[in-house]
Amino acid sequence: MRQDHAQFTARDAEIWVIGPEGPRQFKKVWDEQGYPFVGFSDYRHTVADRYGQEVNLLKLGRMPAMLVIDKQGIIRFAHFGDTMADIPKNRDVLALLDRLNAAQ
Amino acid sequence: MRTHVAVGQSAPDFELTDTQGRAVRLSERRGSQNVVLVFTRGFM
Repeated sequence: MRQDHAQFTARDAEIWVIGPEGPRQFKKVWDEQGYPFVGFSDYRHTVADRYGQEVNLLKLGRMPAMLVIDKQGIIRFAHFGDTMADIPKNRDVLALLDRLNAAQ
Repeated sequence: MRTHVAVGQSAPDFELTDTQGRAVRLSERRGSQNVVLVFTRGFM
């Protein structure tokens, strides 16, 4: 998503990344990588569990998930991956944001 | 299989501390920003 970050910003979209690491470990990686997104440690998994992020112990942990929440606070897209690589394509999410912005 | 939030429902509000040490609440973005929420498997 890093390479397309400006396209998300142009569509009034902030990208919030939530990870399971502790705050220090999360910030260390965040700073090393220089991610342009807003990053959060959710080490107690309270938000991940509330949203329903999948956990697969046979696949060594948490599966990726992505949601799009519109300006009214309504969930307009939700994808809960069942493999590590099961992540929506940026172009599909950007197209959805275009539709949402046109309707809002 | 977990119970997921669903498309069309109001996003559950939450507050977390970001990497800059700021407390950020989802509902503060209402009216101004779309939010793409990405849950990672973790960096390690």
